[in-house]
Amino acid sequence: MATDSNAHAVPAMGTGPSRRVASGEAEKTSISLLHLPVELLSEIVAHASDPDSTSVLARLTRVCKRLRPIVEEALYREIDVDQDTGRLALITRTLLDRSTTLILIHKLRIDMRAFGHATQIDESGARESQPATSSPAAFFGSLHFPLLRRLALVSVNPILLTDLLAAELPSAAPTLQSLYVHICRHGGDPMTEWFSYLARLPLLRDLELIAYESNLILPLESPELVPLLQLASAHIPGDIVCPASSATVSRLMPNLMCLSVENGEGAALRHIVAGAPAGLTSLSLLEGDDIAIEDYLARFPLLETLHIGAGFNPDRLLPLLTSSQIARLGFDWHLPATYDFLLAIVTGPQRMPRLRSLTLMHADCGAAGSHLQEVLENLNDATPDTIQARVSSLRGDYEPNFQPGCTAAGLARVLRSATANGINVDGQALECIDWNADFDRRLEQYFVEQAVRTRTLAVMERYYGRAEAAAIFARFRYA
Amino acid sequence: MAAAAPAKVKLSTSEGEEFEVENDVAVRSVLIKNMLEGKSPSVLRHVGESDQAIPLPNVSANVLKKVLEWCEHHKKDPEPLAEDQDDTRRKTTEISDWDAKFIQVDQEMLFEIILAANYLDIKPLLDVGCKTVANMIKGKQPEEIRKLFNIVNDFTPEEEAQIKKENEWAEDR
Repeated sequence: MATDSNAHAVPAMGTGPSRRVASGEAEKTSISLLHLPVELLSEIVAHASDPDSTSVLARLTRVCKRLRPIVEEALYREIDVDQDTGRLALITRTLLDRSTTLILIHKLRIDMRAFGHATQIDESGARESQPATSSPAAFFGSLHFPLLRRLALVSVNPILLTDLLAAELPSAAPTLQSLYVHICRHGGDPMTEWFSYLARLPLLRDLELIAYESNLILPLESPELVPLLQLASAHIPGDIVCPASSATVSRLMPNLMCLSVENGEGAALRHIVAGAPAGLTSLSLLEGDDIAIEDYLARFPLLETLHIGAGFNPDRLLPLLTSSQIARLGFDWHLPATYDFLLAIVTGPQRMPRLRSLTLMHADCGAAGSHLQEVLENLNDATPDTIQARVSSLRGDYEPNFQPGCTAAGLARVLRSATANGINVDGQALECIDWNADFDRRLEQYFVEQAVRTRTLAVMERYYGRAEAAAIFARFRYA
Repeated sequence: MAAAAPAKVKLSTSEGEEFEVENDVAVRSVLIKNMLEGKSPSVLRHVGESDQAIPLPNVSANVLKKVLEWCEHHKKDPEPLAEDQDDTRRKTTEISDWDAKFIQVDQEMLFEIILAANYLDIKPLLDVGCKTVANMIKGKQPEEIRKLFNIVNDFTPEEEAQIKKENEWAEDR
């Protein structure tokens, strides 16, 4: 062991031993890439991987035998088949020829349009003799994904979905935990069977249903409607059930802990919320109708997360929130209350005791660069007055749509008080706090770009004055 | 548990060379931090109470010097949040200007830094190293990657063609 006398102090910045700088040239080294252990090579591969371009990893598989299995593990972990029929054919060929790759797949997303027009089931049968790319049924009938956790089916119609769930899917993906279904309806009656067949996926915990204007009604307390006992989390469209005659969410998904409803409409949304399981810890109503959420909150004593997507009565909601266990609270676009309400939530005697996070999405604002460009173009011959008029009209257009009694200063006060009490605030509404400053910054940027393009400061000078224009230009130019 | 941690700590390299560094520099290494906090049940539980140096048998002096340079610069960085781990950590491919300049070293040093950061458990430095190697790989053909890292092609031309065919689905179209 060395003695104190040869202990070093920490070297000053930049005084490391002199070494040649890597220039991208190959050189003889005693430690090289392949000397790294597998877990570090995996780490590097993960950094090199780009979900939007798998070609980096595809090329890397061909470098050498040591790298190939490490790279393929990353390449096959998450597979996305878009509507490109050719790509579907290539991936299917590989999965059939090299079945060892199937075990690597944890996430699979398939756009059903990749199967061309063969998305309907051929009633004449004989599916097994069809090539795997001929239909979704043939695909899941020929391939077994032993470790698949997440599956996304895009543009699938309810009839095909029913068929897949009834036949191929449960054995093709026995470990499925998460299913995303983007329903596209090609006419026909609303189907309920597909929902009941989800019971055939025993490990399914998360269900995400996206269905725009599909009017997917799950009717009556039909005896065929099998409850999905395994589901812990569901995202459903607001029109999946209809009032009075339809099954309740707690009958369909009795053990649900997280429920998220998108675009719920009046009576249907009320039916969903009134019939939701009392054990919910998370309830998110995204951009729906005002159903007076305060009437229902007492139903859910265990709520930790609440997102309110519509209006409410602040006087009635406040005491409910104050006495709740809610730690994460969010509001959508239309907040029918002044910021005094939010201030009361985050500070003062009525503050929510457990609140840690507040998401505010309600006030839309922010100038889009392209629009700015559009409105301000062709100003070369404009007089200073014209330019001023256009800018102030544009500024008005972009002013955030604050409710009466709400101001940027009020929002800033909420933010300060919340932060002081350890509550994290996020969401688009925060952009409103300094929207004016941001507008000016974007405007400056636009003028500078225009000056560079046209090689003249003339327009800038007419708006800002000569000295100011030069200073702004210099600031952007040399930033 | 040790008493109040000393302001400085001694580290001993694979060659037995000793470095004395400030505590807040050394604790960028989770390995050293755990040792100083007495979480490590090893021979080092007396560290902090005595003058003894922490032995780092896997790190040579020139690599430790470089690693400590990074730790010195980043000693005031906030602790990474638990949820920032893994996924989000990988998604950001940005390397700060200082780190990019710091990591401009020859390949041997680059891999030594990666190994040391892994051993010492300094995740942000490990990320800088791995991202740097990943950026060297991106946009290159297999032959260029082999040349860059001095890798021998151990595939036959037939094997290589076969792999290319198998993974053709993943190529840009």
